[in-house]
Amino acid sequence: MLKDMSKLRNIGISAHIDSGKTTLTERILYYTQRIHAIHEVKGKDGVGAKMDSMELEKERGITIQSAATYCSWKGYAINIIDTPGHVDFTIEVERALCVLDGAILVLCGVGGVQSQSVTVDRQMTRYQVPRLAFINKCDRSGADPYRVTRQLREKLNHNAVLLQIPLGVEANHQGVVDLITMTAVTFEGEHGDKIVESDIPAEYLDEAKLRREEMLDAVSLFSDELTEAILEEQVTPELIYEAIRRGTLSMRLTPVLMGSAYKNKGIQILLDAVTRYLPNPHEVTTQALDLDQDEEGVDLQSSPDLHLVMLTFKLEVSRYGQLTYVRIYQGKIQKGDTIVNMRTGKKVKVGRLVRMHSDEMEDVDYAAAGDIVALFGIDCESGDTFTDGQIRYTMSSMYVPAPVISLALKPKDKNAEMNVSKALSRFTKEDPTFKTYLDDETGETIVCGMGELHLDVYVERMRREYNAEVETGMPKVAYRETIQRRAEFNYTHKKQTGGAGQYGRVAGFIEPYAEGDYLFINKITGGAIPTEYIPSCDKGFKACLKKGSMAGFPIHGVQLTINDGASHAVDSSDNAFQQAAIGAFREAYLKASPVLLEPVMRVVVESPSEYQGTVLGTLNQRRGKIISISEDGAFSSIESEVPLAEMFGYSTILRSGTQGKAEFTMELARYNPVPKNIAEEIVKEHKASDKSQKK
Amino acid sequence: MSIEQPAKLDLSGMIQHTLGRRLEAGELGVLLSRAGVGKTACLTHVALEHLFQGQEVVHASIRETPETVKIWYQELIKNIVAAQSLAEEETAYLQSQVETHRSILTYHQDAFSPTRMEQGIRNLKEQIGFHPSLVVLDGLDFGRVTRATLEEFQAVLKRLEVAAWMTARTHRHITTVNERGIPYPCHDLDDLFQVILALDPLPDGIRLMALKLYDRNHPEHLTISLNTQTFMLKKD
Repeated sequence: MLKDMSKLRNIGISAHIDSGKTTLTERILYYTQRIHAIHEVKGKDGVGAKMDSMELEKERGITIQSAATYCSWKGYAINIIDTPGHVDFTIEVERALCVLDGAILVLCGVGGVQSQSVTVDRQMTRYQVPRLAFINKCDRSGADPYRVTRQLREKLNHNAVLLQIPLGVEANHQGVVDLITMTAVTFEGEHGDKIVESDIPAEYLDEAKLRREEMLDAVSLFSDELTEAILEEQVTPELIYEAIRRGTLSMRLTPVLMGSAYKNKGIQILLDAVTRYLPNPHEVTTQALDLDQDEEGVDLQSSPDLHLVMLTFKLEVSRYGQLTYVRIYQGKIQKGDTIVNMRTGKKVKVGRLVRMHSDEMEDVDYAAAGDIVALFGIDCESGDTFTDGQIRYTMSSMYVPAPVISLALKPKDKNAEMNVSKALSRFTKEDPTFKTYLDDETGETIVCGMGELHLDVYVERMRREYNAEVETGMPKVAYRETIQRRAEFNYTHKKQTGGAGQYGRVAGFIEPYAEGDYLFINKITGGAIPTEYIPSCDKGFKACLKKGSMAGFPIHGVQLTINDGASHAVDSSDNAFQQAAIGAFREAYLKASPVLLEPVMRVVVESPSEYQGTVLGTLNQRRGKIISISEDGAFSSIESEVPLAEMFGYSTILRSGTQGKAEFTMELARYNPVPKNIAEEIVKEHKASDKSQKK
Repeated sequence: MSIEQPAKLDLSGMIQHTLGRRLEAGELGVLLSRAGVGKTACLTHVALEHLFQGQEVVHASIRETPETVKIWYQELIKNIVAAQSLAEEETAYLQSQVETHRSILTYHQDAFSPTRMEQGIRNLKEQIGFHPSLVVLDGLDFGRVTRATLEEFQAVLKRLEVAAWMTARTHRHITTVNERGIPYPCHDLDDLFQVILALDPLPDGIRLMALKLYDRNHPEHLTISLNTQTFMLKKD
């Protein structure tokens, strides 16, 4: 076990899909001797890359779940979290970023900064993750690392500084020129294991000198010693390393490296850069919230001698059982320790403690602040905080976006029914953006998530991992209802037909509430409604929010104020006032101009400019609003806002309209009112299905 | 396409005030100033004058990202709403109206050409029915631009039947002025512009001077003061 935390790096590898980050991780594992053979991502050799441990990932060539893995390089320990590149899985990326100290932003040398890179970069900025950029695929036709570096500056606003220039690009890519040591570096042997440093070839020398000057100008801002050394012409690589490190840690500089993971070029230098420039756990400040001090923020110290604070960031059922990945921020754990879940207050004993290498593991006895390890047999949810019970700290909760799409599932047989239930229980624990519930009226199981692909993947995993065959309905949009104006209510609930009577009168008004989903205000004076029945009114109103009377969707953004009412000494009860509130809500709701809201997605399409018109057409046909068109080189990036309801099947349409050359990403932008004619259709459909259910 | 509820805004249109009318289709105006005086904000204000009247505008920018362009509008609208003592809710309403009527086109310096912009605007017209009456073009590097490019730009405006305003940066150390009083970088291109306005910083505002107004150079009494936050006319 590593004792010196200054030699530990917790890093993520994040990027646009198909930038080659899984291949890059695979090469890192190869050079750090965690694996002894190289496999390709899309499983041409039938084995598949190490980090894509799920069968489905291997088949689709994409990374769905981030696998944590551990390796060492020149005396440094590196925990790597491989993160998914598809936007539907961003919760995985967000979770990974939350526990990372630094990251490698992988960019395709041809595609450059694409829409997904922008999303991932924004997430990294939110979590204050210092990063290095690695321009991959320099061997591909059309690769231009200078253009990609410029895009890093212009599109992502990074102070991107080239530490290398390519030693040839496209088919001629042989290696890199290191601008710090001013040597040409090539990678020889079958898998590029042998690093050969030589003099810079004459044809690259002028460019190298120029770029070195630019690099020194940029990095000397972070070191007075380096500035002095430049003036005295006494520059050493160590001075440059130190200045780059300072700039990187302050997030005011992004070192840019390059190569080709597939062709085994540049990876070892990238590993050197990870250990040189990215922070160790001591250099990152993390805050927890003290539950005993009104959730006041407290800085955690990355020391094994303090009380334990650790965060679970990923749950996984592996073939060995349930695994819980944790990041230890403070203190230490060892086998046999008792730890406490701050959410539930439950005590748990630490059984097996392991380090993961993708889906293989290595038992360890002890782990300390800064480490990322996995525990066996811990019952918890992703995002839970554990302490040793001596302190009551919780890590700030991770932002979890609300699901925007749902799908009805129907198990094909009895056996599948059991398995679906097991699968859903596991998936919902693993992924907070994946939710499930039973529709009381239809008896169907509904799953909700962040996009079509997100749900597709889970349905597929049910089949493969749980042998659960399911039929799925059409995806449904998570519409909402809200109101547009204030309306009064004055409703009396009165029932005196045998048995105990019921009486309650509730008066007040309903109005739009922009700051949240629901607010209840009590302005009753003089005991018009007895105090004990005020919560009953609140409860009655809340019950109405689950299903709006317009089209049966949940109601958001309403404020209810009660200011008058009446009670009866004998017939008033909790239930009577709940019923009165329900009646009052229904009375006022339809008068308050209810309106349907739909999720509107920010859709960014990247396409060769020749297809710009076609892409605009496809978006316009989907009620899309064009926000901007950015042109760079031969590519256009079209930003638009499109209702989610119109986006089903868009990837097929886009592919066929652009000969497969365009791609898109989408994320929730806002909820907007549904146009009247479409809303009428939805209301009609709802009424029809309501009627058929009643029959 | 027009705004359903006209904004309760009086922008005291500086262009209207200076020119007496707006640029017409095919006409080209330029705003000149040194770096940091407020060319882009002023250009954005010109666009807002059109947008608030329900007209469609293309904001083309070289080097800036769409995000940055959006921020220019958001800030200016926020300042105008505050200066006019309008209710806070007006900001969101005005922003959404602006978004409906504005399309942003951005280019890397090397990716811009008048014909490329023409194709982009034609795509917007044909595919989504967006018919701008004005193009504002920000960030064109006059140190690199050729007369041929500007002539082509003017031809494009005529073909598309739109007016355009653009910005050009002057430099303190380049004092070249032509015989008509038009400074660098427009000194040898002034025949291509129908209107040339110059912005100068004042201790408490910005001075806008007309250097060329159609066939008149340095017309008298056409100097106004603008508020630096809103680019509206100063009342005093």
